[in-house]
Amino acid sequence: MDFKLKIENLEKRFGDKVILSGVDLEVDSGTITAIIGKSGTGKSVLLKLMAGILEKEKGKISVEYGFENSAQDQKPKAGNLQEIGLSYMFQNNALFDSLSAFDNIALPLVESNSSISASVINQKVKALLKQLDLETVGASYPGDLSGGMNKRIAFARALITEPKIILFDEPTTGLDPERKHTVFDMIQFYKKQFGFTAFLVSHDIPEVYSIVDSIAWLDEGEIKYFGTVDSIDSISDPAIKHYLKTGRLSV
Amino acid sequence: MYLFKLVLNFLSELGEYLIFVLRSCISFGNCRNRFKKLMQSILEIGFRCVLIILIIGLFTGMVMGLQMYYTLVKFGADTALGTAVSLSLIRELGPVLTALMIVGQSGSALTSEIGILRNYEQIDALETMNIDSKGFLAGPRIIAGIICFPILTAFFDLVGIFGGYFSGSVLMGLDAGIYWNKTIDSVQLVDVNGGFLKATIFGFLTMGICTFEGYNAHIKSAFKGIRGVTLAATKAVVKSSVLILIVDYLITSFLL
Repeated sequence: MDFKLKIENLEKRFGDKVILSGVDLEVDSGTITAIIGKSGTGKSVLLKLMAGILEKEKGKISVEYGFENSAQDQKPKAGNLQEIGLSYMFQNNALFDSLSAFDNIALPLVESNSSISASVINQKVKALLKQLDLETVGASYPGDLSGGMNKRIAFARALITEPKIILFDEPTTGLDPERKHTVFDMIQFYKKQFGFTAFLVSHDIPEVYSIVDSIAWLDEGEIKYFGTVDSIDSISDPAIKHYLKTGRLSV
Repeated sequence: MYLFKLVLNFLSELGEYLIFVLRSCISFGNCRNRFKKLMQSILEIGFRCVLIILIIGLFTGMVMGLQMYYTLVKFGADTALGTAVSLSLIRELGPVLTALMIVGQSGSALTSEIGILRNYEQIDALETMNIDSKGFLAGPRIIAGIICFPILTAFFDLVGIFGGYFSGSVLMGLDAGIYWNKTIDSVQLVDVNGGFLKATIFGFLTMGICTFEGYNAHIKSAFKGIRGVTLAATKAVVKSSVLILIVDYLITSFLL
Protein backbone atom coordinates (compact mmCIF):
# COMPACT_ATOMS: atom_id res chain seq x y z
CA MET A 1 0.00 0.00 0.00
CA ASP A 2 1.42 3.36 -1.04
CA PHE A 3 0.96 6.28 1.29
CA LYS A 4 2.34 9.69 2.11
CA LEU A 5 3.39 10.50 5.66
CA LYS A 6 2.79 14.12 6.56
CA ILE A 7 3.98 16.09 9.55
CA GLU A 8 2.56 19.59 9.70
CA ASN A 9 3.55 22.42 12.02
CA LEU A 10 4.47 20.04 14.86
CA GLU A 11 5.24 21.66 18.19
CA LYS A 12 6.42 20.19 21.47
CA ARG A 13 7.43 21.81 24.75
CA PHE A 14 8.64 20.41 28.06
CA GLY A 15 7.56 23.05 30.54
CA ASP A 16 8.91 26.33 29.22
CA LYS A 17 11.52 24.66 27.05
CA VAL A 18 10.56 24.55 23.39
CA ILE A 19 11.84 21.36 21.75
CA LEU A 20 10.08 21.42 18.41
CA SER A 21 8.68 24.64 17.03
CA GLY A 22 6.94 23.91 13.77
CA VAL A 23 8.28 20.77 12.14
CA ASP A 24 7.02 20.08 8.63
CA LEU A 25 7.92 16.93 6.75
CA GLU A 26 6.45 14.89 3.93
CA VAL A 27 7.75 11.43 3.14
CA ASP A 28 6.72 8.81 0.60
CA SER A 29 6.14 5.20 1.57
CA GLY A 30 8.93 2.68 1.05
CA THR A 31 11.72 5.15 1.76
CA ILE A 32 14.32 5.43 4.52
CA THR A 33 14.71 8.90 6.01
CA ALA A 34 17.58 9.76 8.32
CA ILE A 35 16.84 12.36 10.97
CA ILE A 36 20.11 13.96 11.94
CA GLY A 37 21.14 16.88 14.09
CA LYS A 38 23.03 17.88 17.19
CA SER A 39 22.32 16.16 20.51
CA GLY A 40 19.31 17.62 22.31
CA THR A 41 17.63 19.04 19.23
CA GLY A 42 14.58 16.81 19.62
CA LYS A 43 15.24 13.98 17.16
CA SER A 44 14.07 11.26 19.56
CA VAL A 45 11.19 13.49 20.68
CA LEU A 46 10.07 13.71 17.04
CA LEU A 47 10.09 9.91 16.77
CA LYS A 48 8.20 9.56 20.07
CA LEU A 49 5.58 12.02 18.87
CA MET A 50 5.20 9.99 15.69
CA ALA A 51 4.82 6.82 17.75
CA GLY A 52 2.25 8.45 20.04
CA ILE A 53 4.41 7.98 23.15
CA LEU A 54 4.46 11.73 23.74
CA GLU A 55 1.60 14.18 23.35
CA LYS A 56 2.11 17.01 20.90
CA GLU A 57 1.24 20.60 21.76
CA LYS A 58 0.24 21.52 18.25
CA GLY A 59 0.37 20.23 14.71
CA LYS A 60 -0.63 17.10 12.85
CA ILE A 61 0.98 13.78 12.03
CA SER A 62 -0.96 11.75 9.50
CA VAL A 63 -0.74 9.33 6.63
CA GLU A 64 -2.64 9.74 3.41
CA TYR A 65 -3.39 6.59 1.47
CA GLY A 66 -5.62 6.00 -1.52
CA PHE A 67 -8.65 8.13 -2.12
CA GLU A 68 -12.14 8.39 -0.60
CA ASN A 69 -13.85 7.95 -3.97
CA SER A 70 -12.20 7.14 -7.21
CA ALA A 71 -12.58 9.56 -10.11
CA GLN A 72 -15.28 11.90 -8.81
CA ASP A 73 -13.77 12.93 -5.50
CA GLN A 74 -10.01 12.99 -5.27
CA LYS A 75 -9.92 13.63 -1.52
CA PRO A 76 -7.19 11.51 0.06
CA LYS A 77 -8.00 9.09 2.90
CA ALA A 78 -6.20 10.11 6.05
CA GLY A 79 -5.38 8.14 9.15
CA ASN A 80 -2.86 8.02 11.94
CA LEU A 81 0.39 6.10 11.94
CA GLN A 82 -0.83 3.49 14.42
CA GLU A 83 -3.77 2.63 12.17
CA ILE A 84 -1.63 1.54 9.27
CA GLY A 85 0.90 -0.25 11.50
CA LEU A 86 3.93 1.17 13.27
CA SER A 87 6.86 -0.28 15.18
CA TYR A 88 9.52 1.44 17.21
CA MET A 89 13.03 0.20 17.80
CA PHE A 90 14.37 1.84 20.93
CA GLN A 91 17.91 3.06 21.44
CA ASN A 92 18.43 0.60 24.33
CA ASN A 93 16.31 -2.09 22.61
CA ALA A 94 13.71 -2.08 25.48
CA LEU A 95 13.64 -5.87 25.57
CA PHE A 96 12.09 -7.58 28.59
CA ASP A 97 14.80 -9.28 30.66
CA SER A 98 12.30 -11.73 32.12
CA LEU A 99 11.29 -13.03 28.69
CA SER A 100 13.33 -15.20 26.36
CA ALA A 101 14.30 -13.88 22.91
CA PHE A 102 11.46 -15.95 21.43
CA ASP A 103 8.89 -14.54 23.87
CA ASN A 104 10.15 -10.99 23.38
CA ILE A 105 9.64 -11.28 19.64
CA ALA A 106 6.25 -12.95 20.07
CA LEU A 107 5.00 -10.41 22.63
CA PRO A 108 3.24 -7.97 20.25
CA LEU A 109 1.27 -10.87 18.72
CA VAL A 110 0.62 -12.75 21.98
CA GLU A 111 -0.82 -9.63 23.60
CA SER A 112 -2.63 -8.25 20.57
CA ASN A 113 -6.41 -8.32 20.51
CA SER A 114 -6.55 -9.85 17.07
CA SER A 115 -6.84 -13.40 18.51
CA ILE A 116 -4.05 -14.99 16.46
CA SER A 117 -3.67 -18.65 17.40
CA ALA A 118 -0.63 -19.82 19.33
CA SER A 119 0.49 -22.11 16.48
CA VAL A 120 0.44 -19.23 13.95
CA ILE A 121 2.44 -17.04 16.35
CA ASN A 122 4.89 -19.89 16.84
CA GLN A 123 5.33 -20.29 13.09
CA LYS A 124 5.78 -16.57 12.47
CA VAL A 125 8.37 -16.14 15.22
CA LYS A 126 10.32 -19.21 14.10
CA ALA A 127 10.35 -17.95 10.50
CA LEU A 128 11.59 -14.55 11.61
CA LEU A 129 14.25 -16.07 13.87
CA LYS A 130 15.48 -18.03 10.87
CA GLN A 131 15.45 -14.99 8.57
CA LEU A 132 17.44 -12.92 11.03
CA ASP A 133 19.86 -15.71 11.88
CA LEU A 134 18.64 -15.95 15.45
CA GLU A 135 17.54 -19.58 15.50
CA THR A 136 20.11 -20.61 18.08
CA VAL A 137 19.24 -17.90 20.60
CA GLY A 138 15.46 -18.26 20.74
CA ALA A 139 15.55 -19.72 24.24
CA SER A 140 18.20 -17.32 25.56
CA TYR A 141 17.45 -14.25 27.64
CA PRO A 142 18.52 -10.72 26.60
CA GLY A 143 20.88 -10.48 29.56
CA ASP A 144 22.87 -13.46 28.29
CA LEU A 145 23.31 -12.11 24.75
CA SER A 146 25.63 -9.58 23.13
CA GLY A 147 24.55 -6.03 22.25
CA GLY A 148 24.49 -6.83 18.55
CA MET A 149 22.36 -9.91 19.09
CA ASN A 150 19.91 -7.93 21.23
CA LYS A 151 19.64 -5.33 18.43
CA ARG A 152 18.59 -8.10 16.07
CA ILE A 153 16.04 -9.41 18.55
CA ALA A 154 14.64 -5.89 18.97
CA PHE A 155 14.55 -5.61 15.17
CA ALA A 156 12.74 -8.94 14.92
CA ARG A 157 10.19 -7.73 17.49
CA ALA A 158 9.68 -4.58 15.43
CA LEU A 159 9.13 -6.68 12.28
CA ILE A 160 6.83 -9.38 13.70
CA THR A 161 3.65 -7.31 13.25
CA GLU A 162 4.61 -6.58 9.64
CA PRO A 163 4.41 -2.81 10.18
CA LYS A 164 4.25 -0.29 7.38
CA ILE A 165 6.44 2.17 9.30
CA ILE A 166 9.42 1.48 11.56
CA LEU A 167 11.03 4.16 13.68
CA PHE A 168 14.66 3.48 14.60
CA ASP A 169 16.01 5.54 17.49
CA GLU A 170 19.81 5.49 17.19
CA PRO A 171 19.98 1.78 16.35
CA THR A 172 23.78 1.74 16.25
CA THR A 173 24.50 3.34 19.63
CA GLY A 174 27.20 1.50 21.54
CA LEU A 175 28.24 -0.70 18.62
CA ASP A 176 31.68 -0.92 17.08
CA PRO A 177 32.13 0.32 13.47
CA GLU A 178 31.83 -3.17 12.00
CA ARG A 179 28.59 -3.92 13.85
CA LYS A 180 27.23 -0.47 12.93
CA HIS A 181 27.57 -1.38 9.28
CA THR A 182 25.97 -4.74 9.95
CA VAL A 183 22.95 -3.02 11.51
CA PHE A 184 22.67 -0.54 8.64
CA ASP A 185 22.95 -3.37 6.10
CA MET A 186 20.32 -5.31 8.03
CA ILE A 187 17.89 -2.36 7.92
CA GLN A 188 18.46 -1.91 4.20
CA PHE A 189 18.17 -5.63 3.45
CA TYR A 190 14.93 -6.13 5.39
CA LYS A 191 13.47 -2.89 4.11
CA LYS A 192 13.80 -4.39 0.62
CA GLN A 193 12.33 -7.67 1.83
CA PHE A 194 9.44 -6.32 3.91
CA GLY A 195 8.92 -2.99 2.18
CA PHE A 196 8.48 -0.83 5.26
CA THR A 197 9.01 2.92 5.50
CA ALA A 198 11.74 3.81 7.95
CA PHE A 199 12.79 6.82 9.97
CA LEU A 200 16.23 6.59 11.41
CA VAL A 201 17.70 8.87 14.06
CA SER A 202 21.46 8.65 13.76
CA HIS A 203 24.69 10.43 14.58
CA ASP A 204 26.66 8.26 12.18
CA ILE A 205 27.37 10.81 9.48
CA PRO A 206 28.22 10.09 6.71
CA GLU A 207 27.96 6.27 7.20
CA VAL A 208 24.17 6.38 7.46
CA TYR A 209 23.90 8.01 4.02
CA SER A 210 24.71 4.68 2.38
CA ILE A 211 21.27 3.29 3.23
CA VAL A 212 18.93 6.29 3.27
CA ASP A 213 16.84 7.84 0.54
CA SER A 214 16.53 11.24 2.19
CA ILE A 215 17.95 13.28 5.04
CA ALA A 216 16.12 15.58 7.42
CA TRP A 217 18.38 17.91 9.39
CA LEU A 218 16.71 19.03 12.61
CA ASP A 219 18.08 22.19 14.16
CA GLU A 220 16.59 24.70 16.62
CA GLY A 221 13.28 22.86 16.64
CA GLU A 222 12.79 22.90 12.88
CA ILE A 223 13.71 20.84 9.84
CA LYS A 224 16.37 23.07 8.31
CA TYR A 225 17.17 20.74 5.44
CA PHE A 226 15.25 17.96 3.79
CA GLY A 227 16.46 16.31 0.62
CA THR A 228 18.39 13.48 -0.90
CA VAL A 229 22.02 12.68 -0.12
CA ASP A 230 23.02 13.71 -3.65
CA SER A 231 21.51 17.15 -3.28
CA ILE A 232 23.76 18.11 -0.33
CA ASP A 233 26.26 19.53 -2.81
CA SER A 234 23.71 22.02 -4.07
CA ILE A 235 23.22 23.61 -0.61
CA SER A 236 24.39 27.19 -0.71
CA ASP A 237 25.11 27.69 3.02
CA PRO A 238 28.63 26.29 3.53
CA ALA A 239 28.09 25.73 7.30
CA ILE A 240 25.03 23.51 6.73
CA LYS A 241 26.78 21.78 3.85
CA HIS A 242 29.79 21.10 6.05
CA TYR A 243 27.65 19.72 8.88
CA LEU A 244 25.64 17.45 6.61
CA LYS A 245 28.80 16.11 5.00
CA THR A 246 30.84 15.56 8.13
CA GLY A 247 28.47 15.69 11.11
CA ARG A 248 30.54 18.54 12.53
CA LEU A 249 29.78 22.23 12.74
CA SER A 250 32.28 24.36 10.90
CA VAL A 251 33.95 27.03 13.01
CA MET B 1 -1.84 29.72 50.86
CA TYR B 2 0.78 27.01 51.37
CA LEU B 3 -1.79 24.78 53.08
CA PHE B 4 -4.24 25.36 50.25
CA LYS B 5 -1.60 24.34 47.70
CA LEU B 6 -0.78 21.26 49.76
CA VAL B 7 -4.43 20.19 49.92
CA LEU B 8 -4.83 20.84 46.21
CA ASN B 9 -1.76 18.72 45.41
CA PHE B 10 -3.03 15.93 47.64
CA LEU B 11 -6.45 15.92 45.99
CA SER B 12 -4.91 16.05 42.53
CA GLU B 13 -2.65 13.08 43.29
CA LEU B 14 -5.53 11.17 44.87
CA GLY B 15 -7.55 11.70 41.70
CA GLU B 16 -4.67 10.53 39.51
CA TYR B 17 -4.20 7.50 41.73
CA LEU B 18 -7.88 6.50 41.62
CA ILE B 19 -8.05 6.91 37.84
CA PHE B 20 -4.85 4.86 37.48
CA VAL B 21 -6.11 2.02 39.69
CA LEU B 22 -9.53 1.88 38.04
CA ARG B 23 -8.10 2.07 34.51
CA SER B 24 -5.57 -0.66 35.34
CA CYS B 25 -8.26 -3.02 36.60
CA ILE B 26 -10.61 -2.30 33.69
CA SER B 27 -7.79 -2.64 31.12
CA PHE B 28 -6.73 -5.92 32.70
CA GLY B 29 -10.23 -7.21 31.92
CA ASN B 30 -9.49 -6.65 28.22
CA CYS B 31 -6.00 -8.20 28.30
CA ARG B 32 -5.15 -11.55 26.80
CA ASN B 33 -3.77 -14.40 28.96
CA ARG B 34 -5.35 -12.93 32.07
CA PHE B 35 -5.23 -16.15 34.09
CA LYS B 36 -1.52 -16.64 33.41
CA LYS B 37 -0.70 -13.04 34.35
CA LEU B 38 -2.79 -13.26 37.51
CA MET B 39 -1.10 -16.51 38.58
CA GLN B 40 2.34 -14.97 37.99
CA SER B 41 1.36 -11.96 40.08
CA ILE B 42 -0.01 -14.13 42.88
CA LEU B 43 3.29 -16.02 42.85
CA GLU B 44 5.25 -12.73 42.99
CA ILE B 45 3.18 -11.01 45.65
CA GLY B 46 1.73 -13.83 47.69
CA PHE B 47 3.97 -16.84 47.51
CA ARG B 48 7.11 -14.76 48.02
CA CYS B 49 5.74 -13.64 51.41
CA VAL B 50 4.44 -16.92 52.83
CA LEU B 51 7.53 -17.82 54.86
CA ILE B 52 8.04 -14.37 56.34
CA ILE B 53 4.34 -14.12 57.21
CA LEU B 54 4.48 -17.49 59.00
CA ILE B 55 7.57 -16.48 60.99
CA ILE B 56 6.26 -13.03 61.93
CA GLY B 57 2.81 -14.46 62.73
CA LEU B 58 4.24 -17.17 64.98
CA PHE B 59 6.46 -14.80 66.96
CA THR B 60 3.78 -12.11 67.21
CA GLY B 61 1.43 -14.71 68.69
CA MET B 62 4.15 -15.97 71.06
CA VAL B 63 4.97 -12.47 72.31
CA MET B 64 1.29 -11.68 72.74
CA GLY B 65 0.82 -14.96 74.62
CA LEU B 66 3.59 -14.06 77.06
CA GLN B 67 2.66 -10.40 77.56
CA MET B 68 -1.04 -11.05 77.93
CA TYR B 69 -0.51 -13.99 80.24
CA TYR B 70 1.55 -11.82 82.62
CA THR B 71 -1.07 -9.05 82.50
CA LEU B 72 -4.11 -11.30 82.83
CA VAL B 73 -2.67 -13.45 85.61
CA LYS B 74 -2.44 -10.31 87.81
CA PHE B 75 -6.21 -10.02 87.67
CA GLY B 76 -6.80 -13.75 87.90
CA ALA B 77 -8.10 -13.72 84.34
CA ASP B 78 -5.43 -15.89 82.71
CA THR B 79 -8.14 -18.19 81.35
CA ALA B 80 -9.11 -15.37 78.96
CA LEU B 81 -5.75 -15.66 77.20
CA GLY B 82 -7.21 -17.51 74.18
CA THR B 83 -9.89 -14.87 73.74
CA ALA B 84 -7.42 -11.97 74.02
CA VAL B 85 -4.86 -13.44 71.63
CA SER B 86 -7.28 -14.66 68.98
CA LEU B 87 -9.48 -11.54 68.86
CA SER B 88 -6.50 -9.16 68.81
CA LEU B 89 -4.94 -11.11 65.98
CA ILE B 90 -8.04 -11.70 63.88
CA ARG B 91 -9.51 -8.21 64.24
CA GLU B 92 -6.42 -6.01 64.27
CA LEU B 93 -2.90 -7.32 64.22
CA GLY B 94 -3.36 -10.01 61.58
CA PRO B 95 -4.54 -7.78 58.73
CA VAL B 96 -2.33 -4.83 59.69
CA LEU B 97 0.97 -6.68 60.24
CA THR B 98 0.39 -8.93 57.22
CA ALA B 99 -0.23 -5.88 55.01
CA LEU B 100 2.87 -4.12 56.36
CA MET B 101 4.99 -7.22 55.75
CA ILE B 102 3.72 -7.71 52.19
CA VAL B 103 4.31 -4.05 51.37
CA GLY B 104 7.84 -4.28 52.75
CA GLN B 105 8.63 -7.52 50.95
CA SER B 106 6.70 -7.49 47.68
CA GLY B 107 5.44 -3.92 47.37
CA SER B 108 8.87 -2.32 47.28
CA ALA B 109 10.09 -4.93 44.78
CA LEU B 110 7.02 -4.30 42.65
CA THR B 111 7.55 -0.53 42.58
CA SER B 112 11.23 -0.98 41.70
CA GLU B 113 10.45 -3.46 38.94
CA ILE B 114 7.85 -1.24 37.27
CA GLY B 115 10.08 1.81 37.83
CA ILE B 116 12.97 0.08 36.07
CA LEU B 117 10.67 -0.90 33.19
CA ARG B 118 9.75 2.77 32.93
CA ASN B 119 13.39 3.80 33.14
CA TYR B 120 14.47 1.52 30.30
CA GLU B 121 11.55 2.59 28.08
CA GLN B 122 9.94 -0.85 28.26
CA ILE B 123 6.60 0.71 29.23
CA ASP B 124 6.86 2.98 26.16
CA ALA B 125 7.73 -0.13 24.13
CA LEU B 126 4.49 -1.80 25.29
CA GLU B 127 2.49 1.23 24.21
CA THR B 128 4.09 1.23 20.75
CA MET B 129 3.14 -2.45 20.47
CA ASN B 130 -0.49 -1.46 21.15
CA ILE B 131 -0.39 -3.22 24.53
CA ASP B 132 -2.13 -1.34 27.33
CA SER B 133 0.72 -1.04 29.82
CA LYS B 134 -1.55 -0.33 32.78
CA GLY B 135 -3.61 -3.45 32.18
CA PHE B 136 -0.50 -5.48 31.40
CA LEU B 137 1.62 -4.40 34.39
CA ALA B 138 -0.54 -2.90 37.13
CA GLY B 139 -3.92 -4.61 36.67
CA PRO B 140 -2.88 -8.21 37.52
CA ARG B 141 -0.80 -7.01 40.50
CA ILE B 142 -3.70 -5.07 42.03
CA ILE B 143 -6.11 -8.00 41.58
CA ALA B 144 -3.45 -10.39 42.98
CA GLY B 145 -3.17 -8.08 46.02
CA ILE B 146 -6.92 -8.35 46.60
CA ILE B 147 -6.63 -12.15 46.48
CA CYS B 148 -3.36 -12.63 48.39
CA PHE B 149 -3.81 -10.27 51.34
CA PRO B 150 -6.79 -12.10 52.94
CA ILE B 151 -5.17 -15.53 52.36
CA LEU B 152 -1.89 -14.46 53.95
CA THR B 153 -3.82 -12.79 56.76
CA ALA B 154 -5.51 -16.14 57.44
CA PHE B 155 -2.06 -17.80 57.61
CA PHE B 156 -0.85 -15.09 59.98
CA ASP B 157 -3.90 -15.44 62.25
CA LEU B 158 -3.63 -19.23 62.43
CA VAL B 159 0.06 -19.42 63.28
CA GLY B 160 -0.32 -16.42 65.62
CA ILE B 161 -3.04 -18.19 67.61
CA PHE B 162 -0.84 -21.25 67.71
CA GLY B 163 2.06 -19.03 68.94
CA GLY B 164 -0.19 -17.73 71.74
CA TYR B 165 -1.00 -21.33 72.69
CA PHE B 166 2.71 -22.23 72.71
CA SER B 167 3.63 -19.34 75.04
CA GLY B 168 0.53 -19.50 77.26
CA SER B 169 0.02 -23.23 77.57
CA VAL B 170 3.28 -25.00 76.72
CA LEU B 171 5.63 -22.49 78.37
CA MET B 172 3.49 -20.85 81.07
CA GLY B 173 1.34 -23.84 81.96
CA LEU B 174 -2.17 -22.60 81.14
CA ASP B 175 -4.49 -25.51 80.44
CA ALA B 176 -4.56 -26.16 76.67
CA GLY B 177 -8.27 -27.07 76.73
CA ILE B 178 -9.14 -23.72 78.28
CA TYR B 179 -7.02 -21.84 75.72
CA TRP B 180 -8.60 -23.53 72.69
CA ASN B 181 -12.16 -23.51 74.10
CA LYS B 182 -11.96 -19.79 74.84
CA THR B 183 -10.52 -19.17 71.39
CA ILE B 184 -13.31 -21.11 69.63
CA ASP B 185 -16.07 -19.62 71.82
CA SER B 186 -15.02 -16.00 71.51
CA VAL B 187 -14.25 -15.75 67.79
CA GLN B 188 -17.38 -14.95 65.80
CA LEU B 189 -17.80 -14.97 62.04
CA VAL B 190 -18.20 -11.20 62.10
CA ASP B 191 -14.68 -10.85 63.57
CA VAL B 192 -13.19 -13.02 60.83
CA ASN B 193 -15.15 -11.17 58.12
CA GLY B 194 -14.01 -7.82 59.52
CA GLY B 195 -10.38 -8.93 59.39
CA PHE B 196 -10.74 -10.18 55.83
CA LEU B 197 -12.51 -6.99 54.78
CA LYS B 198 -9.57 -4.97 56.09
CA ALA B 199 -7.07 -7.25 54.35
CA THR B 200 -8.91 -6.98 51.03
CA ILE B 201 -9.04 -3.18 51.22
CA PHE B 202 -5.36 -3.03 52.23
CA GLY B 203 -4.48 -5.26 49.27
CA PHE B 204 -6.31 -3.05 46.81
CA LEU B 205 -4.96 0.22 48.20
CA THR B 206 -1.33 -0.74 48.78
CA MET B 207 -0.78 -2.63 45.53
CA GLY B 208 -2.41 0.32 43.78
CA ILE B 209 0.05 2.71 45.43
CA CYS B 210 3.06 0.50 44.67
CA THR B 211 2.19 0.11 40.99
CA PHE B 212 1.23 3.79 40.69
CA GLU B 213 4.53 5.01 42.16
CA GLY B 214 6.57 2.66 39.96
CA TYR B 215 4.62 3.54 36.82
CA ASN B 216 5.13 7.26 37.43
CA ALA B 217 8.68 7.03 38.78
CA HIS B 218 9.89 9.37 36.02
CA ILE B 219 7.23 12.02 36.69
CA LYS B 220 6.57 11.93 40.42
CA SER B 221 10.16 11.96 41.56
CA ALA B 222 12.46 14.98 41.55
CA PHE B 223 15.18 12.62 40.36
CA LYS B 224 15.40 10.56 37.20
CA GLY B 225 17.04 7.21 36.57
CA ILE B 226 17.92 4.73 39.29
CA ARG B 227 17.65 7.36 42.05
CA GLY B 228 14.13 8.11 40.88
CA VAL B 229 13.27 4.41 41.10
CA THR B 230 14.66 4.00 44.63
CA LEU B 231 12.83 7.14 45.75
CA ALA B 232 9.62 5.82 44.21
CA ALA B 233 10.06 2.52 46.12
CA THR B 234 10.62 4.37 49.39
CA LYS B 235 7.61 6.61 48.79
CA ALA B 236 5.45 3.61 47.95
CA VAL B 237 6.37 1.79 51.18
CA VAL B 238 5.95 4.89 53.39
CA LYS B 239 2.64 5.93 51.83
CA SER B 240 1.29 2.38 51.97
CA SER B 241 2.31 1.89 55.60
CA VAL B 242 0.74 5.16 56.72
CA LEU B 243 -2.39 4.45 54.71
CA ILE B 244 -2.73 0.97 56.24
CA LEU B 245 -2.84 2.44 59.76
CA ILE B 246 -5.21 5.29 58.85
CA VAL B 247 -7.59 3.02 56.94
CA ASP B 248 -7.40 0.42 59.74
CA TYR B 249 -8.58 3.03 62.22
CA LEU B 250 -11.39 4.15 59.91
CA ILE B 251 -12.64 0.63 59.22
CA THR B 252 -12.40 -0.36 62.90
CA SER B 253 -14.41 2.66 63.97
CA PHE B 254 -16.97 1.83 61.26
CA LEU B 255 -17.21 -1.86 62.20
CA LEU B 256 -17.41 -1.46 65.98
